[in-house]
Amino acid sequence: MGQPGHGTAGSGCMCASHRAVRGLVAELTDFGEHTVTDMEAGLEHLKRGTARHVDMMLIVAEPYYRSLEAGMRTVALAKELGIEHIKVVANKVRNNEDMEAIQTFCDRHEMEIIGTVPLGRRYGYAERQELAPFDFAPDSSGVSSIRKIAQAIDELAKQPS
Amino acid sequence: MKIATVGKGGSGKTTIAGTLTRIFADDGRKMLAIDGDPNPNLALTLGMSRDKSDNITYIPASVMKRGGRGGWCGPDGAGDPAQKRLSKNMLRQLLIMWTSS
Repeated sequence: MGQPGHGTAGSGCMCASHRAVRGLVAELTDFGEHTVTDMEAGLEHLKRGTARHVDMMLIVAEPYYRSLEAGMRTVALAKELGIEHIKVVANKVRNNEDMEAIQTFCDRHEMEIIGTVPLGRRYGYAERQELAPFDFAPDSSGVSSIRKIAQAIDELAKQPS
Repeated sequence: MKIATVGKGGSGKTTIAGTLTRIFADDGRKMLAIDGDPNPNLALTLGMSRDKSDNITYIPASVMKRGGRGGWCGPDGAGDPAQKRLSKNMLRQLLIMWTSS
C-alpha cells in the first residue's frame, strides 16, 4: 500500500490507504494459494472494513492483560465482520506461567489459540544483520512454532467451509 | 486462504506474517504477501534487504478510487476494467520484483 506522502501530516486521514488495503485483499485472489496481509497496528482500520474480505484473522497477542484485552476487542470486531476463522497467536511467551495466563484469558472469553510462539531473544540481532528470522534461525523454536501454525492453517483450509 | 495478521503495535504481527509466508513458500506454495501497514516493514521479515525494501514502488493513490463497499472500482461503484487491469499489472510487477530479489 502507499505510505503517507511527505508534508501531509495533519492534512487528512488514512481513508485512502484503508480503502486500498480492503480493495487489494478483495481483488487479489488468484495470485497464490494463501494470501497473508500484515495489517496496520490497532483496531481503528478494522472499523473501516480493511479485513472484511479475509478468511482468517490471526490476532497476535502478548502475555499481558492490555494486549489480551485488545485481542478480545479484535475478536468481537472480527465476528461482526463475519470472518470465518478467528484465531489467537500467543506471542512472546516466556514460560508456562505466561502460557497459562493467556490460556485462562482466552478460555474465559471464548477465544481460540491456534499456536504459541516463544519470545525470541535474537530477533533484534537478526534485524540488525538485515536477515529475516526465517533465514537467520530456520531451526529456532520461534520459526518451528510458526511452522506448526502453518500446518494448522493448512488443516483448516482443507475443511469444507 | 486469505489471512490477516492484526494486533497492537509491537505485538510481533509483522514477524509472524513474514515468517508464515516464508514457511509456506519454502514448502513450494505460491504466496502473496501484502503489507497493509502505513508504516511498512513486512519486506524485512520476508528477507528483503533494507535497500531493496526502501525502493519498493508504492501503489499510487490515483489507482485507488473511491468505490462501493469493499470496492476497488470507479466512482459510480460499477468498476473500471481498465483501471483494474492497470492496478493488477502493477502488482504483478511488484511481485516479480520481490521474487527475483
